[in-house]
Amino acid sequence: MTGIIKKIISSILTIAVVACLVFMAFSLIPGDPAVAKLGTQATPEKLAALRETMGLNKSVPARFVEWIAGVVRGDFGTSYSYSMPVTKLIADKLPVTVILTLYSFILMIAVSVPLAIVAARYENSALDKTIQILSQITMSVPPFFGGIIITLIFGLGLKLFAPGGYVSYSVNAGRFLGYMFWPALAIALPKVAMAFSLLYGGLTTEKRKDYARTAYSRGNSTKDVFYKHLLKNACIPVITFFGMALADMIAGSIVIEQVFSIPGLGRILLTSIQNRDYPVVEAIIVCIAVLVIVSNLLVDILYRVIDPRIITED
Amino acid sequence: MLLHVEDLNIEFHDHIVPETVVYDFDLDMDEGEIVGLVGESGSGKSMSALAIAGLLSRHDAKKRGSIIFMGEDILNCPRETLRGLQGDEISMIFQEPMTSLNPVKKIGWQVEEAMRIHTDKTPEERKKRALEVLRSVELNDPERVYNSYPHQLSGGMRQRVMIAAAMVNTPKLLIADEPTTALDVTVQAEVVKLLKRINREENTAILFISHDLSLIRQLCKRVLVMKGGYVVESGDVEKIFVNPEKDYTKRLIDSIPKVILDRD
Repeated sequence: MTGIIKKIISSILTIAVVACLVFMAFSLIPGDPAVAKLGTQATPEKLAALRETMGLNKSVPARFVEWIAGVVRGDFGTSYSYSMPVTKLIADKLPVTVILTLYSFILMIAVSVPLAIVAARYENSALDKTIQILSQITMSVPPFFGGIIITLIFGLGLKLFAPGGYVSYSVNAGRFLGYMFWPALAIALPKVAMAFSLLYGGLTTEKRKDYARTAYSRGNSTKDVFYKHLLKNACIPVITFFGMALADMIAGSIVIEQVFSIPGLGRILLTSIQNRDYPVVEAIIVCIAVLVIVSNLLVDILYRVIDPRIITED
Repeated sequence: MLLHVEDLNIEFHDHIVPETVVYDFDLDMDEGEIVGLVGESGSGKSMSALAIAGLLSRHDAKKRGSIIFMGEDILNCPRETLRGLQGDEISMIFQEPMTSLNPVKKIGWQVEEAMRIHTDKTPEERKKRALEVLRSVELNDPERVYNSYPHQLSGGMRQRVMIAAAMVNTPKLLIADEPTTALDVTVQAEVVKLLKRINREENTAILFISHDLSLIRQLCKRVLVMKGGYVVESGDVEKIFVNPEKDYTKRLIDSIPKVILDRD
């Protein structure tokens, strides 16, 4: 148990460090938010007045202390370009990105596990070979390109969904999930291929081990041997990949939101960077960092749950 | 007759030239009988045992002959029928207790598995039976063992757990494939004693495979000696010990280390 508590503490520290670095980075890079808002033709007086209201005339350390104090209270300041609190601005966009990420993750598991089991069970058969080739192909397709192909085939060709027809989860949850399936698929596909390869390798190793023979000797069917005995063992080395994939999917969803016109964190992040809207950018980066660190923490906990040999008192 | 094996031949086709590992293997076993199977590594004894247990399902292994267990033809019956016998009427324990248990499942779960597959017992009944069978294989504190993972137990304890899991449905036949080879000598003796007691109390027939003739002599009445895939000699253990017909058997007997105690 103490191991997990230590992990949680170090995760909180990591988030704090990320927050500091993010703030530092944006006070170092060139570009003036006041100019970005008023344009290069603005008078120096107007610019000075705007900097005053934005709080930009204070020193960097003073602004940092102010910002951190706000962040701890859950207040990321006011957006320069939208003139509204950042928390309010991203509150309804964050769930979209989180749901898209989780959706992709669930799809990845739901597809790769049965595929790996079928291929490992019928190792070296034609079926196995076919799955291997398909997996190699999808592995090399980046999500944004996969997204375009999916839109072309399933959206424009087969008309299974309307490209650009995003429906907010607050309007119709069912149609929201129906539309989100396609971007989630685009994100999941290359990960499915990688998860498949790793699981396949694990399963074909595990199925030759002595305990698999023991399982057969008790009267288990092949399916039960795979699902009840081999899968958990084959998953242990793959969990690390699952963690990395989850973090990667958070970043991937920001790109794919553009392809599928989804108003998530991705779109607002890009426009905010263009507008030098630092409070928004900082808040989003901190959010993403928290998501990544929390997913790593979950992976670590999952490890301990799955593999009893990991000593928890480390 | 519990088990009747006739003309069993096992061939492997995983190389260009097929390789026969067992030739014309014959074996009859009655209920409650203990038969020893002795031979060096590669003599085909483990392959014969796996075939009898219905575990030689590699598609590159070709089996001819017949194995009749309780009236069922092990080599040709549907997989469903075979699975119905495995873990219920035929059980098997293996040489390596360290790797024969699933490392990520609790002992209790593994001991109860054959009951989950073959019986309608409730979880409470299963746990009761599991603790009972763990106690009967002389494990102290069965409740703790029940909640342990394999890596928390010693080799001897794991082999006892394997025996417990194999005996949970009181099978008619227990195949023990070198169950003591990986264990300390003192633990070996205890496991042999335990198998003897199980045979006496449950009337379970045991096919005991070993390369150690002295262990076979302690446990079995009848023995088959294998070499190079052939059964070279078979019959009463004591008779073979006193008067081995084949040179190979003689050499096997001579290879048993003897403690010389005469000091005059």
